[in-house]
Amino acid sequence: MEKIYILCVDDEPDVLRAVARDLALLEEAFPVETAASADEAKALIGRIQESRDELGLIFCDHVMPGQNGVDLLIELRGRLDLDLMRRVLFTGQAGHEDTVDAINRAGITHYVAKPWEREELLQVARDELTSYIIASGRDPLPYMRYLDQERLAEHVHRRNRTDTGQ
Amino acid sequence: MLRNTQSHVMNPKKTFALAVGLALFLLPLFLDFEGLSLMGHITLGIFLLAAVFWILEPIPIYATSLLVIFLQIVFLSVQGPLYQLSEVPSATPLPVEGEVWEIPAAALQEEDAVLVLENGKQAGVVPVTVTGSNAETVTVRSDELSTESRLVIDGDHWLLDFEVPSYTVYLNALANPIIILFLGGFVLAGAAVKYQLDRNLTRVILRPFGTKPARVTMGLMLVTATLSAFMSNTATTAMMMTVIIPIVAQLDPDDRYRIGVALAIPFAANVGGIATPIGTPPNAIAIGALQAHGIQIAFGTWMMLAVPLVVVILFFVWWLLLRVYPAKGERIVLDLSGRFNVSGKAITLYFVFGLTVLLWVSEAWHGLSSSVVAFFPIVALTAFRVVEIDEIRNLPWEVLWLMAGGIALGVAMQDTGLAEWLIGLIRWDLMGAFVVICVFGFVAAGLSNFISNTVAASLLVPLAISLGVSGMLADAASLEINAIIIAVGASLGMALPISTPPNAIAMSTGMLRTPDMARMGVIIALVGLPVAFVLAKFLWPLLVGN
Amino acid sequence: MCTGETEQTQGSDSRGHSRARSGSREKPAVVAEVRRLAEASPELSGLIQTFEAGRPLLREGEYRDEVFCLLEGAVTLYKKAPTGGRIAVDSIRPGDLVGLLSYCTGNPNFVDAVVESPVTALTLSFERFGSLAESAPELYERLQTLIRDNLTERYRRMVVLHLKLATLNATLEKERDELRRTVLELERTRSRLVQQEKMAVLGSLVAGLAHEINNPASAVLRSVEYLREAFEDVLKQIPGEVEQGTARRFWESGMRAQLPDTVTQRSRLETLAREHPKLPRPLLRRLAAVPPEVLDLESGIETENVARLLSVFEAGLNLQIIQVSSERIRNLVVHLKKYARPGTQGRQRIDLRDGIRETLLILRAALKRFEVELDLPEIPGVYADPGRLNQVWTNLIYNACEAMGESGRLRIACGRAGPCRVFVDVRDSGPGVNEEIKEKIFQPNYTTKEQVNHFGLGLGLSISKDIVSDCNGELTVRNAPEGGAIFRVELPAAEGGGGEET
Repeated sequence: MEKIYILCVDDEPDVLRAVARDLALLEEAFPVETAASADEAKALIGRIQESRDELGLIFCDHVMPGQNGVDLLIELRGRLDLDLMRRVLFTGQAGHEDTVDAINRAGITHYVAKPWEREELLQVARDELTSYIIASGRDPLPYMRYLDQERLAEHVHRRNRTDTGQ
Repeated sequence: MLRNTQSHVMNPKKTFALAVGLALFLLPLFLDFEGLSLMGHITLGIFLLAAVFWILEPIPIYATSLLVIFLQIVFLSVQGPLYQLSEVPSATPLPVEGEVWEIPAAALQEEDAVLVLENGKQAGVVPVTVTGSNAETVTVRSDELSTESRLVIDGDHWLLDFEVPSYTVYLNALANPIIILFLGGFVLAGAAVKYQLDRNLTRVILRPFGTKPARVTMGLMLVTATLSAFMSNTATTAMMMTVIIPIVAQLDPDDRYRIGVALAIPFAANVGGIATPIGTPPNAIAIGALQAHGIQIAFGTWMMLAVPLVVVILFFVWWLLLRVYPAKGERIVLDLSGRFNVSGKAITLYFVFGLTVLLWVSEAWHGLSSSVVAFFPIVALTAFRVVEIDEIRNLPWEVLWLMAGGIALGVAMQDTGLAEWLIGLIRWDLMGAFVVICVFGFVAAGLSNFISNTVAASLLVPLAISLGVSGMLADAASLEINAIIIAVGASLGMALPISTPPNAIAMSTGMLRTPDMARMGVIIALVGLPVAFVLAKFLWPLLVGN
Repeated sequence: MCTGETEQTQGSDSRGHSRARSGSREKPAVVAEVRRLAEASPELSGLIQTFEAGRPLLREGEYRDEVFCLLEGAVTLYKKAPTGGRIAVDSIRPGDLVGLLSYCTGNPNFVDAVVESPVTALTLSFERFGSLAESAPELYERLQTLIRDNLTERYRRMVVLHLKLATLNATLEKERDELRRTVLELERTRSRLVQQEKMAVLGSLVAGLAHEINNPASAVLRSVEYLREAFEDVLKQIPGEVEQGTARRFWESGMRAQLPDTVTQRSRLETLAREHPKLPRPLLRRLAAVPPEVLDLESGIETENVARLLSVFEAGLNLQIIQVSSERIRNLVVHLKKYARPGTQGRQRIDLRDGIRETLLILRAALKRFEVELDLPEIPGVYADPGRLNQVWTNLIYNACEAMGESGRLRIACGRAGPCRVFVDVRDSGPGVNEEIKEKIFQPNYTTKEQVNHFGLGLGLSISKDIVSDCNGELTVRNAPEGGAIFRVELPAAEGGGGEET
């Protein structure tokens, strides 16, 4: 079973540290990686894929030096191998146009405004990863205790199978 | 974390399992067991391979089932390459004069008969009169020999030992009547899920149970058992989990009732599966194997056998869980809002569902076998597009394949005499019929704690049936009862999270810990099995057998 | 139509004087003769008619086959104006003829002719007028004279009219230009006032806000100190000298630690994961923040202990972060206060570089996507209003960002432009400034982009130019040889040379 990673991209080390800390509850099942720039993020994605793991969720800051968050997400959206990945845009200040761009072109699945609450962030991560697990067709049981149990149980009910056979 | 590291050291384990499976597959070919044909040896190899693969799962268990069928076709069928490429060694008789022939001494099978090959693989007996002999040849007189005749030299050749069947014998397992019965059940269940019939029935049934924790548990268990008798245990458990997750979330984290209710669902689902032939695959393995011996067990008959047992065990589980995990609060509120779907298709489904169940339980009156009845929902629901292509694709086909593998393995073990030979290794006659039943029950339950219930049944049922056929046991009904007790035992093996998918689902929610499940699971098996044995001794013989 | 002459002999224009004089002088005499001749003729005497004032002789657009030769009184000619109503176009005096144009061309009447003061006129039908040469040759001759005079006079007046028209146009044009300039100036003044008002409001707002923010920030900073002392006291109570030393080391390391960059963190995390495969990843990640030398000293710490020491380390680290962050807030407030000064403080001697640095700090978020290169050597101070100059920097920097789009390189440099002048260059890596728009770029309301001002602080380059001009400076633009635009602000250095003041 490959690991499903959560990747956080932000140029502020304090933010990265806080996000990783807030997501620690999920990390038993979903290892968290952090990157300080778009380029580092892309290199990390390459490494994750080389070890045959998956990237399930990306938290991406909007304004960063070099390639900005929306552009990074747009670039990643073109990649078939990251088709199912959930994308969350993290932002302290966003104009209306950027938002439209992020939704239309970068295909973001959620928007988190800074500053955030730990519970809110965890809930967003749980929801997004639940959607990822359902879309990926994986056996949801190993992830059930960390994610949205009702949705996953409903998914098992509709799909009528788990990997335990029978 | 723990889970992850485990999964990453999985590969050497898989390789090991593959190696052991292959070694055990080849092992019987290098050994010569007294009283077992070469085909029996090959089947033993397949059996061992299947056992290792099913237990250690280097490949998915349904893939192992398909592998079993494939190996049987390759090695044990007329169409397989082994049969196609082999020939019985033969010689042609040398004419001496008139009807006198000189033949190799080895060709003379008995004192006055030779075997003449008809197509290189099968031989007919031709009587001869021996007129003279020396060290290597004999002269015989026969009017049926010619210079074209091919005389079998090796009379013990494996090809002559066993009548090799056509591959249809093994392929038939894929469309065995019991498989069709299950397919019917799957289609009904798929439609029920699609139109939320199961969820709505749950609402309706639960409502009268009120809000007292003990009664709520009873209601939940009753609904779960009823639904899982007709639907997959997995789907039922998952659906019931969506019902109880909101309840558990409301409870105080210290309230032990949440553990009780989280255990009640999977246990009720496992036990409920025993109630009908389509409740769970082990039932199908038992019924399928009995059918191969010409013994039909009607849908209603099975329910008469199983329902009393299910009711007793459910009641016990209910009592046990409430005692061990009493509720702190006085009130449990379930969200029972929702409405029945009343679209045309949903109405069609309700009608088809009701009629099918009615026809199943009333087999004694109309005589239509449950497999025939099962075709009705398949045809009706697909014809009226109640079930559409997506749901059809989404049926658990691999469960059907898994069962087919078990059935096919049983057939081969029977035909090649392997089952009988294996049974012969143990002095059953010393035990007596009742002890045998107990042994099978406990072995089935113990084994299915660790491996798939279907697989446990697939491995044990052929042995049990051979034992019954062999006549070593005095009791006439023991053939059926042995098979059924194995199916029941397989369903009662539910002490571990890996024992059954319902257990795995309950465990994955994090509401309970493995020791909770193990303790309760063992107690239930230790109480449930004796109840089954008592019924097997006193009730079941009245319903089956002669 | 052959109109009679309006100016009488004595009032004619001096410029057409000599040419018109010969005919005009004779006119009253000729009219008298015409009257005399007509009265003498039995056929014609009946044709001398009188008309009272207000009576129309001709109506525009109608046919009236008569020609009137005025002997007394006055007639006014009206023409319908295209905009409605009618305009008096000419005035007919004795000696002039009415209805001649209609007679010559055969077209309907060209104008209305209305009697102004009671008129006596010789009224001739077209038929009689045509045969006059034979029937009354003397009268005919006199009429010919009148007609010739009429034509000459007309020509003279046309020339005069043209001249008048040209003069009038020139005056009009001049007045319009004047008006345009005034409007522009007004607009400029208005926006400057609005801007000043805006900055004044912002300034007082910021001043109030700064006070509100500074108080809690100071409280936080003070509490950090107390907390630190309290924690150190707690550390002293840990039993065991070795244990206490270890905890103290973790604590102090946390107070000093810098967060390593993500790459270092990751490699540390991986090393730790290899060394302690049993520890959960979140714990390992937190451990990766601890400097390796601090961890190394404690090789062989038990898991339980690790978690405790890590908490001590993180207490220090978090306290440090609180301290650094609140200092950052206080700093930001100080800069914001300087940037947006309440009102205009008037000119003072300032170091240009301070304003530039403040502005950059305020625009930090917007500048994140660009490379910023500063080359700010010591330069002499200038006399200027610092708050207003900050507007210039904001506008120039913001303008550069707009020109560069998504990414690029912003360079800000300063230096001496001459013996007593200093300059600041703001240079971008955008497409540069087109020659055509170089002139227009400093006009108010000129823009090449959609008018989105993200800060609401700048009103464009025209304001900037005005502000710089007010300081006796100059704002110019040129293109860099390797691409991009350079905006240069040149200001006179304050007397007393440069460098000694801050």
